[in-house]
Amino acid sequence: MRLRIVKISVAVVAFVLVFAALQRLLVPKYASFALEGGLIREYYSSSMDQDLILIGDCEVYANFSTIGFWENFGITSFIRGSPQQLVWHSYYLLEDTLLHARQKPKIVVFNIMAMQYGEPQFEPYNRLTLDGMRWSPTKFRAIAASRLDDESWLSYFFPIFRFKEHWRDLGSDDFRYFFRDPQASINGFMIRSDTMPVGFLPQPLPIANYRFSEKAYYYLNRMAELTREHDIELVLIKAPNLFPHWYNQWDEQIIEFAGEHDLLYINFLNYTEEIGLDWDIHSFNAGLHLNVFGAELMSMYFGEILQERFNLPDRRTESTVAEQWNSMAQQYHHMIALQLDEIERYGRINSFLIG
Amino acid sequence: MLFHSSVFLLFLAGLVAVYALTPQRFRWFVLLVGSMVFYASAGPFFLIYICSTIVITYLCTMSMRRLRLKRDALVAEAGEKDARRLLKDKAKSIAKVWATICLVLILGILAVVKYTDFAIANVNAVLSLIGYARQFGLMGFALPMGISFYTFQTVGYVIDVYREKAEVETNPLKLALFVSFFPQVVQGPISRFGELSKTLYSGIQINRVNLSRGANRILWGFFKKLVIADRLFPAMAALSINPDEYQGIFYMLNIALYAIILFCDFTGGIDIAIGVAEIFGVRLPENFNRPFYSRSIQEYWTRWHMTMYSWFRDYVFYTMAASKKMLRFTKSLKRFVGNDIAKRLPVHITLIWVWFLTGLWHGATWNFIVWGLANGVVLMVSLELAPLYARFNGRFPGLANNRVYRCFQIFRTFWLMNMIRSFDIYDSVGTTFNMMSSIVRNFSLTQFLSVGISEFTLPIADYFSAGAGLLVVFWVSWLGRGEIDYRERLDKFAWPLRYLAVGVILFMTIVFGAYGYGFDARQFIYNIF
Repeated sequence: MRLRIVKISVAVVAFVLVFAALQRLLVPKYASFALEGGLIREYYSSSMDQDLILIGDCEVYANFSTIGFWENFGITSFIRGSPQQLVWHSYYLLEDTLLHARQKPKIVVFNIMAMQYGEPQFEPYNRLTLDGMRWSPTKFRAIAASRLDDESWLSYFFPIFRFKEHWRDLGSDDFRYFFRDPQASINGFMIRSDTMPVGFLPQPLPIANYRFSEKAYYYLNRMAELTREHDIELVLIKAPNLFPHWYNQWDEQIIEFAGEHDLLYINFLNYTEEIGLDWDIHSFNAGLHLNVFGAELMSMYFGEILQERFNLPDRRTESTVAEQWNSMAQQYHHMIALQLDEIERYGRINSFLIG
Repeated sequence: MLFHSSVFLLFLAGLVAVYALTPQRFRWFVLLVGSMVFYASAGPFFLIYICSTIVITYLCTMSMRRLRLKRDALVAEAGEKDARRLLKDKAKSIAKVWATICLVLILGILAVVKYTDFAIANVNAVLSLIGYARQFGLMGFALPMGISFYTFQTVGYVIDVYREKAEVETNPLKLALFVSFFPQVVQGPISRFGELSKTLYSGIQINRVNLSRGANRILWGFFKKLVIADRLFPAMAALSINPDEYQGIFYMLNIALYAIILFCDFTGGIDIAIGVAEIFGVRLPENFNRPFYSRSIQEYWTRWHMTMYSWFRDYVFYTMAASKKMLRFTKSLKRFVGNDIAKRLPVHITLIWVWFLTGLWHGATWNFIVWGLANGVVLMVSLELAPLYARFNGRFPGLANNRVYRCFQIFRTFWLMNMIRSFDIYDSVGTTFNMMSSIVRNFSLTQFLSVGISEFTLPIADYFSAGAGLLVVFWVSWLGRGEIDYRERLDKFAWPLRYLAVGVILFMTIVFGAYGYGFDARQFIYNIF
């Protein structure tokens, strides 16, 4: 009997270890491809005590420099952005942020581009947002709200069942980042120092129904309620990207919603000249996203509004915070210099990872 | 509810738990409820078909039982031998009526849902051939899950009852369990009532041995299905839908791939069925015995889909060959063609008829019918050449045990069966014959080398993973030599090695299995029969 227990114990331990090791090996590391996939996870390795939290899709993690907020205004911030982040993703990320934050944020900024979607879109985008979240009832609810029919719960609990096919493409990154995760951002901001001027912009096509879905409104409402409950200011923004097109009919609905809920809404598309954006030099992919220099301008402009309107504290005088942020700022400037050097030498950026 | 779906695993886990907590005498009922739930998962409407078969079978077999009891009582009372025989003959002829009614009705259900459209399509084809404009519309019946399997299993039971080889099951719910037992209802194996009933109703408690052996067998089934069959399937599909492009050597590659895929798919499904039943202490018959080691086509059919082969042998071949009509035919034939041919010809006619039915059972298409007839013809030729082989073996007595010659026989049988099986692959009989002839018409090794196997939608790495899986299958097959269950050989290994072997198979299935995101869960090939 004792031998049987030993045998079974050894088998179970060996199974768990091999399973865990294989899973770790096969899940994407987001080190040289789809780096955005690691952004959500990076929050938990930050200090989690930021005053400003930005939530939304690529229009936030590419368009606002967290170091820009710090260096110009002493605002501590984190961007909880991920590709094609849908409204319910954003809501649960907000819940998750409040659950884990050591200090409650004072302002939450939500980019409303995703209001156009009323249903889950593509499985890979679900994974890029949800896999990075820590396990909690919030994550559980986020998966339930986002899951497409062909996605299994099991693959969220054990991602090996989703990413097992990666065995074909195993590379050095999978071994290098076996024990640690790569860092792709500075507090959620992804640095891109290259430039691609705006060329051709497709004409916006009329759509059948401009009305945002019930589901999108439901989660936007919940976001407003949650921030109100926690005495946090919710600010709605539309980042100044030229494509995909932001329709006036959509804008009117957000203005109406913001008015009803007494929220600040800024459509930055209306202020590009005041911000100083030049689409020939401030985008790295032809108007879809801003590069680091555009993002710094955005942080300058937006940081001023936030500080004036909401009286956000300047924390540059707090030595511990300052030490930490100045160190990040050093990394930030080093990365920009490195990328500019690579552009000059090779005509393209090779380095994207901060660490 | 596919065997290799997470829903099925959850269903199985739940059923095991309920079964374990139920008192022994009600456990068979838990299996019945589970079987009905499983069946209903394919569409509640299909329950009508299977329940009709159960009700018809129950009523007819109970009538036969009452008749038998009455006969026995009368026979006991009857004094004279002649009177007893008369009573027996009379009872048998009435039982035959009941058995015939039963078989006509349950086979009628199968015929209507499975073959009506095939018949209409052929009538339409003939009408248009003779210039008649009128066409009949197809009925479009949905094929109930496992209808071919449970119908044949039930037919076997009815014939066994008629022949008094099986006791009549007097409890209709127990009969329902026999017909619908969920592990085997989808794709067999086709069980006999006498054998299956020994363990089906016993209500053996879930125990460590059955659980571990059953789980082991299920894992082995998953491995073959997911790591090999489903992984290689896209390559075969790509080769099959382009018959004009992929001829000659590509045809050879395709039929070899199909052999591997069909073997792993079908045996994998049977492994899962046997393993699931084993967990509940129910023993299902084995359906395969290393068929690709067969040295002749006769031997192959005693090792591949054994329960179907033995079903046709016992219920069709012997019934027909030993029928009074056939004996009369043999007798009358002797006058015209002599004793020798008169003995052989009825056997050949029966053989061809049996293989025609086997083909038809597989599917309502001409491809399957020609496939069945091709098997029959090859077997018939083999029988005719048997004396020649005997003379040849007599002249070279050492050859039968010569390893190289045995390998040649295995190789020959493998390719012969592959070619016959290619009727399953292509969309028409004509295309299949065309592909067969392409071996001599269009066998271009240079074309094959220039295209390469990575062309057929599969990355090269997938061939390696499936190849590694095949090596494991060969190893396990080698363990199972001498008709010994491979698990018994595995049990003789030191426990770390045993656990390692199971662990390797488990992790290979998890990592290399073709399932989950990016894969369409492909049902087992035999599910459609």
